[in-house]
Amino acid sequence: MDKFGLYVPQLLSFRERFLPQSHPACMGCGVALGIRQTYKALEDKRGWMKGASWEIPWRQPLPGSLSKSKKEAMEEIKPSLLGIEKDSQSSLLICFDNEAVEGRPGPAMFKKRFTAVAVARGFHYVATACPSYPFDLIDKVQRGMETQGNSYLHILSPCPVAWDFESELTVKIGRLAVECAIFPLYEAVTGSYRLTVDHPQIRPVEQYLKIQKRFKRFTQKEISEIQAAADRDYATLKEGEV
Amino acid sequence: MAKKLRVVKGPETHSWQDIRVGCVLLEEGKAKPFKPGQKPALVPVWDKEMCVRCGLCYIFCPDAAIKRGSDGYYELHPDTCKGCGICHQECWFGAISMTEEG
Repeated sequence: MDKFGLYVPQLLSFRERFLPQSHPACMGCGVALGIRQTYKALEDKRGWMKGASWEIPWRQPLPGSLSKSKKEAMEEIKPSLLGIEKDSQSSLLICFDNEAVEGRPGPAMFKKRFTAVAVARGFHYVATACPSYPFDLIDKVQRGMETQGNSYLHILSPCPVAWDFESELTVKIGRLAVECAIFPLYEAVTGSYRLTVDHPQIRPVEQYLKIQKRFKRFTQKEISEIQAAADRDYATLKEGEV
Repeated sequence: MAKKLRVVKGPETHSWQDIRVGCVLLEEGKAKPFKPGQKPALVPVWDKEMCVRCGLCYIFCPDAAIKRGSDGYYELHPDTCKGCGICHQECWFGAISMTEEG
């Protein structure tokens, strides 16, 4: 991305396959933004299931899953990770994660476990992305489609309602999550990890936590624990091991 | 006296005979002709002197409410804007201000 300048959005096609008419998202929704950017990447692809109200079908988890615990939610998503590997020879599974089922999220633990499950099950291309970095996301979706074999993509989608911030800060908070190393952007091609966005200066996690009201009860001790865990995870990622 | 039924009219009127077995839709993008309901309180307005036509507001809009005009400047598609303000927050040059509609 370094070789492109400010005008890189002009390179995208201006055809809109994403239909804002048919989604129930709130204003400033990170999931809607992520789906729209995914559609930008899937420019000429067709859905495998005809007849959705959108041109490419998608599935929303049942509302009941919101009240489940973290473990139950894991159990719900795991079969799709495991089943896809068994059933198909080439596929792309995208998980839009708005952290709704986590009571008190630790730093990157939950996300790393999902990508780690996918890597351990032999997925050929596993990556994390965030709609605040749209061209990184578009590259990863296209790469996942091109890969022969199964691919898994984990997309962090800030949620203004559950995370309790103003709707205009969606993109900024996603960027802070990456810059504070809470949600590092990496890809794993056949099991070898590589950071795709590596900031020279990592911000303290306090900036990410203070801006959202869901973390307002965190004490200084807990913040320093999260900082230590984020630093440790980021250092191991940087060396290419997980 | 028969009660008058409220009929929701789409772009074409459909009857129950059009529904397939299992409610299967045979075409893609069926929701395209419809419009979402409510109008937002604040909508973005571009200052063309400060805008450099970079397109960041276009790529960061979650509701596909910003389209590119024929002169290269970006403009609002007022039917789908929800007034979230991401374009105002993300514009590097401060060319977008959120104002009341009308």
